[in-house]
Amino acid sequence: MSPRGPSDDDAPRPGPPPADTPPGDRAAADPSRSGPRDDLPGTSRPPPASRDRAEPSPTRPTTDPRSKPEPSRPPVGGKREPSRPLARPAGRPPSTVTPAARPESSAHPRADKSATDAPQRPFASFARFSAPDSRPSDLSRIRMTRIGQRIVAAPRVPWWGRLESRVITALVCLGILCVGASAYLVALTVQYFEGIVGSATQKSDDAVALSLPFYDGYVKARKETYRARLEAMARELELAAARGELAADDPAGLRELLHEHLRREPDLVELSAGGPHHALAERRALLPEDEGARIWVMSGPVPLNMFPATGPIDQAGLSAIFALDPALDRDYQSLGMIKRGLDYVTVDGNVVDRGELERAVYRAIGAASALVLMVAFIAGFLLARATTRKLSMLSDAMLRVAGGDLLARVPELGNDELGQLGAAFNGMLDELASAQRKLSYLQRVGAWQEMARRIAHEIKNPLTPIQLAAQQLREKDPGTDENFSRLLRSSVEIVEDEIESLRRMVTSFSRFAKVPEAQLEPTVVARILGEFERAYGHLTERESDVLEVIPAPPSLVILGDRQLLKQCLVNLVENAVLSQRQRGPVHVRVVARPAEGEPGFVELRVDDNGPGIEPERRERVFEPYESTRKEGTGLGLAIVKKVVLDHNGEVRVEDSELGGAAVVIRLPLHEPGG
Amino acid sequence: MRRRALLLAGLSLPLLGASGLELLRNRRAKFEEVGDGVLMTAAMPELLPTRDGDAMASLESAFATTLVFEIVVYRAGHSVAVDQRSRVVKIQYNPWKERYVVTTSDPGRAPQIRYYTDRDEAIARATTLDRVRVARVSALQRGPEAVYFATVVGQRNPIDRDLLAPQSGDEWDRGQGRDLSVFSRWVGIFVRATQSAEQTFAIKTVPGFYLVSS
Repeated sequence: MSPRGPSDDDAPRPGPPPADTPPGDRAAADPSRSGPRDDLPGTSRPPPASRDRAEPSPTRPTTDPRSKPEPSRPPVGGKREPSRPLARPAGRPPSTVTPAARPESSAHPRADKSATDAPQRPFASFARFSAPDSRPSDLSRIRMTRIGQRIVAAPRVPWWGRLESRVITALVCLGILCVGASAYLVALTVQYFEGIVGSATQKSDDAVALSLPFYDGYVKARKETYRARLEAMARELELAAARGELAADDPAGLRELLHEHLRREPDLVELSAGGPHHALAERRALLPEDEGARIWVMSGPVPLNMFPATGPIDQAGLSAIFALDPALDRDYQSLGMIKRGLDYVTVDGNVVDRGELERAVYRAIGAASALVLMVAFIAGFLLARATTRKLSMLSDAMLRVAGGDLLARVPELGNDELGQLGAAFNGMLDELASAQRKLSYLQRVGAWQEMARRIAHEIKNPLTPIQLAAQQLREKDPGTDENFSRLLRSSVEIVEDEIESLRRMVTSFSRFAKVPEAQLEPTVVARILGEFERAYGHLTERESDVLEVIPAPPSLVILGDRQLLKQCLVNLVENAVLSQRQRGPVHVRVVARPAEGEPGFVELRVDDNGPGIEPERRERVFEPYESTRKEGTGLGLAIVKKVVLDHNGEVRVEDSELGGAAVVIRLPLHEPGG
Repeated sequence: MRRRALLLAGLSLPLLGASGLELLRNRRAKFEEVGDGVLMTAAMPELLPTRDGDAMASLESAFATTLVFEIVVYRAGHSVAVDQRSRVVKIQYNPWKERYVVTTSDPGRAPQIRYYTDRDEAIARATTLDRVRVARVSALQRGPEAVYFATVVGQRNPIDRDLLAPQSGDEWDRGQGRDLSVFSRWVGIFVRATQSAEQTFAIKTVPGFYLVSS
């Protein structure tokens, strides 16, 4: 390969053209100033946008009515400037934008106008915002708002108007609503069940209250029963006396009858007859009274009229003591204890009444709701902030891009949709930068082509008259003076040699200027290599030089111009031969294969065993007129790159396995129907 | 100036509230020195007022009403109790014998039972601490410089927790019951007033007493 000379950088960052770039190229290097060059054959550029800033060429005056001559800047020395067709327009103030932050579109003369006259193109308006490019912190205080086709700066919205605040507020309101609704439902539930329990308790109270008279009635009925039984016993005693079974003066017999009753009545504790003939019968087993084990119920006295004829006993009475089982009374007392406990409950070891319990439940639910709300607020705040921060970062990056900072990128935002959006945005900016680089390069090449065409045109015309004049000088030599004739022949040979050299250069320029536009059509890569091998199989006349063309798989089909791609291979191989020919045997290998790790792409690779290219020069070698060889024009690789870019491909230089350099052309595969 | 007044008012509010929440009522009492004991006589009719309809209805329904007295003797200016006694009085209407039974129980002594046919007499007997031994003379100092007073906290029908509905059981120890237990404890935090009896009344004997030097 041929080492190349220095050229302007090929960085993605737009900047001013290099000093060695022709004047017209400086204007052409600006992608925003690109316009149709209808003066170039075979070009079909978009409609003109910058022809009015180019000086009218003396050899090809513009017909654009918008272009005006610049009388205030006459040609230096009164001469024309035919080689500056796209020179910087006069009177344009120098840009204050730093090259790293300002796209080349800012060099557009219309960008110097007021904002209201800003060109309505995607990047032309960015030139108005130069400060935010280098001071991102300023962007936090301003906001870029697009009004129609214009972008204007506005104060940043207050915190309460920002999306982050709104989302957090919405989440908090939603949390309050949910927690409030839940608390209200819980309160309703508590009230509902409290009502049910209260009703049940009230019914229990009512039941206990209704049971109280029954106990009282039971006591009275039991007393009446005791009295009735006592009266029945009195009547039996009276009958016994009437039958003569009991004598009036027989207290022992009376006592025996009383004991007889005592034996018949098991709950009878004591039975006594009063009067003149007092008698007592008692059950010692039930003595004494113990209210824990038994309750004595006294009954009587009932009248006892056994001996009406005798008189004294007529006024007697019979009384008794009955023993009552206290179990009923104990159960009744237990009922009273339960009745007292109906209004109380035990909560966490404490006895509280039901009203206080209800209030405590309300307070507990309120506190729990407040805790839940606080947790929800914190969680919502963190969650919303995590999300809205991504949006803010995305928005800031977009604003910076909108402000002209095409180097701005969105930070890593994760794997969610916002992260994917940020990655896509970064990818779009990368693609934009790549397209801008490509456009810039093509415009530079176009400018060089225009210059080459004009140079060829200007130089080619006088060559023939000069050559004819030289031939006439040689033919008209009278030959009278040997010395003069020798000097004349030598001079004419020198002139003819230089003319031939100029003619070759003109031819080279013409070839460069006439590189046609690529006519893309489905093309099999193997066919390109095959035709190239047939046409260029003889690398050199030396037997030691080797051209190795490795057949490509027939499945590799690209959308390309076969002739131009073959021309690229020829240029690359010629460069390789020229760079190695003086050093020894030449070995060049041409191979086409699918790109590794990039499905959908094919790589055309030309390796040589030449001296190689230093890494720092590998981008510049594709600039026009960059060559380190004396006989080289520096146009071969420029043509290659232009053709490759026309094919939507890329070209790069690597180290070769053969020891020299390898030029790799990466082209997209053709997908039928894609 | 106004700010200072507001500050003072704010600071004094809790003190005023605390003074208003005095639980001990001043009550005159009679103290006697008998042998080695100091006997106190004081009445606490507020514990079972006859105007309390529910209490009277409960009493006349033959339900037993229990009065518990906690008697603590302090020396004036000291917060450590000198002596502490308790008494349990049970008043119950016996419908079988149609009389009121007042049973007085002192720790270590046999219960004293008295019968009354009149309800108010029975209530007066039950709510009056009549010659109750509140302290030992040997534990007190003689002389006017050693003034003592007694506090009596009376409770009517202390709530028996065994008779309340249990809130914890086996079903509260696992699963959702554990959450219910936690919730119960959470609610317990917010309970402000707890109940230990149907009625609580406390007095402080004013003036105090001192043992005359022999």
